[in-house]
Amino acid sequence: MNTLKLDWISLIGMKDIAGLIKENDDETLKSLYTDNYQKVEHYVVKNSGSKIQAKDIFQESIIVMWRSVKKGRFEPKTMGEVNAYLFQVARNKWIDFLRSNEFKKTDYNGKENIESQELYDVEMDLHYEEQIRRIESAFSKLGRECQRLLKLFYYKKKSMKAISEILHIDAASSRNKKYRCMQRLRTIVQENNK
Amino acid sequence: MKAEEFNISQEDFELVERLHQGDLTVQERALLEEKMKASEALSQFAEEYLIYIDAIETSAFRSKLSEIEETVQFSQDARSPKKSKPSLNLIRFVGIAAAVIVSVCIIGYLWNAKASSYESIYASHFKPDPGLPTKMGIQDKYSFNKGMVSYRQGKYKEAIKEWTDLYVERKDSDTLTYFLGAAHLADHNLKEAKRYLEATKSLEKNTFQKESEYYLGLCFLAEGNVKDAINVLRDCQDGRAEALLKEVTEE
Repeated sequence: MNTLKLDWISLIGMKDIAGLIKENDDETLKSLYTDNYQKVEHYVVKNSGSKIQAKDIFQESIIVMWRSVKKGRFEPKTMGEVNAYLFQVARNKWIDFLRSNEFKKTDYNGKENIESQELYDVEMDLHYEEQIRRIESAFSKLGRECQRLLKLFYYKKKSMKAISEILHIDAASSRNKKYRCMQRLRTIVQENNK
Repeated sequence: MKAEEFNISQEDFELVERLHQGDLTVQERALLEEKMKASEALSQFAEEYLIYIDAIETSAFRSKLSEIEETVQFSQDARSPKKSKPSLNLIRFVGIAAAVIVSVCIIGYLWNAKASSYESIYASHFKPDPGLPTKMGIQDKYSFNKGMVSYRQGKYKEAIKEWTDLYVERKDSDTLTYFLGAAHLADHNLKEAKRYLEATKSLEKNTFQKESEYYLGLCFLAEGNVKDAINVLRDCQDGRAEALLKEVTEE
């Protein structure tokens, strides 16, 4: 007798995959990680890289894919499309890294050049990327409570009511605290820019 | 921009937030536009708002990825011994070996009493901090990242060398101070590990508070200093501290 197995992959295949990525759904992210990491690691290690470098390349690539979906530049319909896109980004990032460092003399064919250029079009421009890094660095210096509150609101998309329940404070205090945390974040960014 | 000009009020902050959520009435929008004309800080914040949100989300996303990475790694490690089915002779041998080991352990336990039991708790709980992901090509953090690559490859001495030079100029960095402590601990230099972890704890801005307390507790435990270990672990917010504390206090 055939058993109908509905695992997470099958389920999200039926759902709106782009929507789940935009919502920062934990299970979807975990699936993306487990489905793709080994393939990327194998590719990097086979092409003169280490496992540590593979991890970094994979992390940066999954961020590029995630941002592209959030900004509406990539609208996947299936998990297969996401996996293919993610591998393509990782592959091109690795080729780019090899070209810019000790493997400068390696000869690559024209096809890879075109694909690499296309993928760069969907990545952030360098100035924007630099701004993100500066704010991320400042964010890591915020107090734990502020980090938690801002993550709950902006990443987990929790309502202020839900946040006040999680933090055991009233809704007005949560709002005030969110404002103060953002002000603190802006101040650290400004201090770091001096 | 001066500090008083840089700050914006909570009301203005919330107006900008609602503008980006598409939640402003026509009147409110007109009011905000007027205010933005009069305040450079507000105008700048409205322009940068989405970058701030993107950066916060990216930071949270990175943390989530690291969390998943650890879970996946852990489950792979846990699964790997089950790959081959052991033969009956092997099971017998392992059984005898296990019995011998258990006997030796019991004798050892009676011999060394409490002190060694705390060390074994330390040994069973200690797992080096996995480190931070390194991003290739960032020149201003080159030394730190170079050390982090060594650290994540288990080359703790190389990481310590790289970071100790950097520490001379960056004693205020919680990340650097903490990872120097973590590297020394992974390299079994308890005294140095304690020095850096205590320095991390005393920093005004410390995003590694719970981690530094947890590892400091482990340092004390490895020395057999149970009193200080309990004191540190009792206040520690790290999720791993509770189980460790329970084990220590039950001894």
